[in-house]
Amino acid sequence: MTLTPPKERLNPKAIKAWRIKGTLYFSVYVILTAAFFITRIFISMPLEIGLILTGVSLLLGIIQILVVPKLRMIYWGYEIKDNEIDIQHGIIVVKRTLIPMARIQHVDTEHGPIMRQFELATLNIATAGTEHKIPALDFDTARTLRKKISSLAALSDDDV
Amino acid sequence: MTMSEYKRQHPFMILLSLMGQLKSLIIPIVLIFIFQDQGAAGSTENLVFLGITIPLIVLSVVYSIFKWVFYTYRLQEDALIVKSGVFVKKRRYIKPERVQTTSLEAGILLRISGLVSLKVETAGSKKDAEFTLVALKKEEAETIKAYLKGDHVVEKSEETENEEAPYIEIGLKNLFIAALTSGRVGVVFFFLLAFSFEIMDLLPENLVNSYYGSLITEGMLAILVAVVIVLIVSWVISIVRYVLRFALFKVEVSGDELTITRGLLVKRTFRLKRHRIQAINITEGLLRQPFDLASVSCEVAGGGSYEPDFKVTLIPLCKKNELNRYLEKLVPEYVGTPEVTPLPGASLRRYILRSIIPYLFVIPVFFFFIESLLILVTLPVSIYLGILRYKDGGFGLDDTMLVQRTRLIAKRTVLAKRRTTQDVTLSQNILQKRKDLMSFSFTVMSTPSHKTFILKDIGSKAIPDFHTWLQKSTQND
Repeated sequence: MTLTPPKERLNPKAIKAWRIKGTLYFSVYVILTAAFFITRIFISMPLEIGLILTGVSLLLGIIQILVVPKLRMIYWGYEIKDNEIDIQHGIIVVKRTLIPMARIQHVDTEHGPIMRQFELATLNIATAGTEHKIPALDFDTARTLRKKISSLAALSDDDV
Repeated sequence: MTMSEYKRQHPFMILLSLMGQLKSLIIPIVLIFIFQDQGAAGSTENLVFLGITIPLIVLSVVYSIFKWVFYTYRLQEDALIVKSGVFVKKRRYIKPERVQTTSLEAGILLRISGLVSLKVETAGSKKDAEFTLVALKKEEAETIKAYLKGDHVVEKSEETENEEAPYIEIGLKNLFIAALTSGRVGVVFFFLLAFSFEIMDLLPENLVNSYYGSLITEGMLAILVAVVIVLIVSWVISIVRYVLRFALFKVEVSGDELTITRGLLVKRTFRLKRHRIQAINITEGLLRQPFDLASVSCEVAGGGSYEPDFKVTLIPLCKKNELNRYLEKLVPEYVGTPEVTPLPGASLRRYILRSIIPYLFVIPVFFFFIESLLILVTLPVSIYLGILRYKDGGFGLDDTMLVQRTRLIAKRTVLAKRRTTQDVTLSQNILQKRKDLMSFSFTVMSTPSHKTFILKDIGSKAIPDFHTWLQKSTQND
């Protein structure tokens, strides 16, 4: 078995959504850094810390806004087969997970405020104990998949 | 069985509840006592102490009585109803088909009075998943248990059942060997270290002083001697703990159900339906491996949470060559382990590196506190463990079973059935990719949630086709 990505991809709109999310995080870092410099007016603290904070925020910002979303999209893949769900993701550590249909306890979809703007939803797949997510599917796909999985899984709880 | 009216538990419950209350009052009362002692020891101070303590105790007594009065239960055709609560009323329905385990327990007090407590665990959210009827007459508890097990029509006679059932007992000799080699010294040792200052206070003063004296004259030697003494004490404590927990260990098998009894002071009984076992753990501790000894425990879905480490011991100790014979009796499904594929040579280096890397952090920290590189003495041990981890690592697969062998300190072999495997994950980081290695993990249910077993650095080529394996799962199970 190799780590070749499964054939279904996430919705490309997700890149934009992730960038907006990244920007939000970035603004938090900026605020924290600014807070440090403002405090420094009143209490003396070494300038170096401020410089490090600025550097780290910029770096994280660049990574989260420019680099990660694209790579994430490239590396994310999933496939819903009759007997199993196949998920692969990860940039530095590539992770491939197989979930047998018979083990699935329930599926649901959710979306946060940013994702809703782009009409994207996350599919949650729960087995007894573990939870797996397929993020950034358009509403229609998410709904279809949810129905498909729950009918394939036939959601019985014999084994537990 | 006749359906009953609402019943109360044995009045002994009042005493038990009161003792629980008093236990939690001890610390505040002691605090009050200490603070009042600091003032002038006049009679008014005593009045304050008594003025606070006595009402507290009276309140506890009253509360315990009310709790008993308001705690009622009733067996109905379809459910056991338990009503409780003095101020906040609570009523719960326990349907027999939702019950995962029932167990009878009896501490010393209960045993003296001939009572037992009945613990019931149900499938459901963690918080409400279990409840205990703390004081029942034995027959009453048996009736409820039989009802919850769903066989309230047929009243079985326990005695004859036990005679036929095959069972496993831990003998006195095995108990002591197991206690000596239990490998729980470490836990006790760190516990003692953590509380070393409190313990110092308890020791006679001149002993402590002379120790500090010798610290100056003998230095390292004094520290070593202290460590050895603490180690020996921890070992003795761990032996006593083990004996208390596992004395009189017994597993009885009747049909699809295992009944595990153990404990010297507090006798614990645990019933377990076979199909709820999610995985079998065969552990060979460092002290046991040289003697070809192993112990077996299992991961259980639902129930088992009374075990402090969420593991249910099936066999505390046995010879490795007898293992299959025991498994045959207890969990025949798990006999006949698939062959284990060892790790490829390419992963040895990664295992050794992993055993060294922590030292990059440990050495500076250690050096900061005592200016010595003494900790380096343990490095060869760590590397040796790393090599052992590599040697023992491996996995195997056959039609219905998955086996994974790993070692942290003890060597552990996990057997999981395909039907209990919740997911399978393969992962690969950039460094592993260069060497064509992957990490392999799988998850099984285990109360209170789940357990994931990871084996690092297996060869990509040796990985079987999990797609097909899991597919069969859907077809056959």
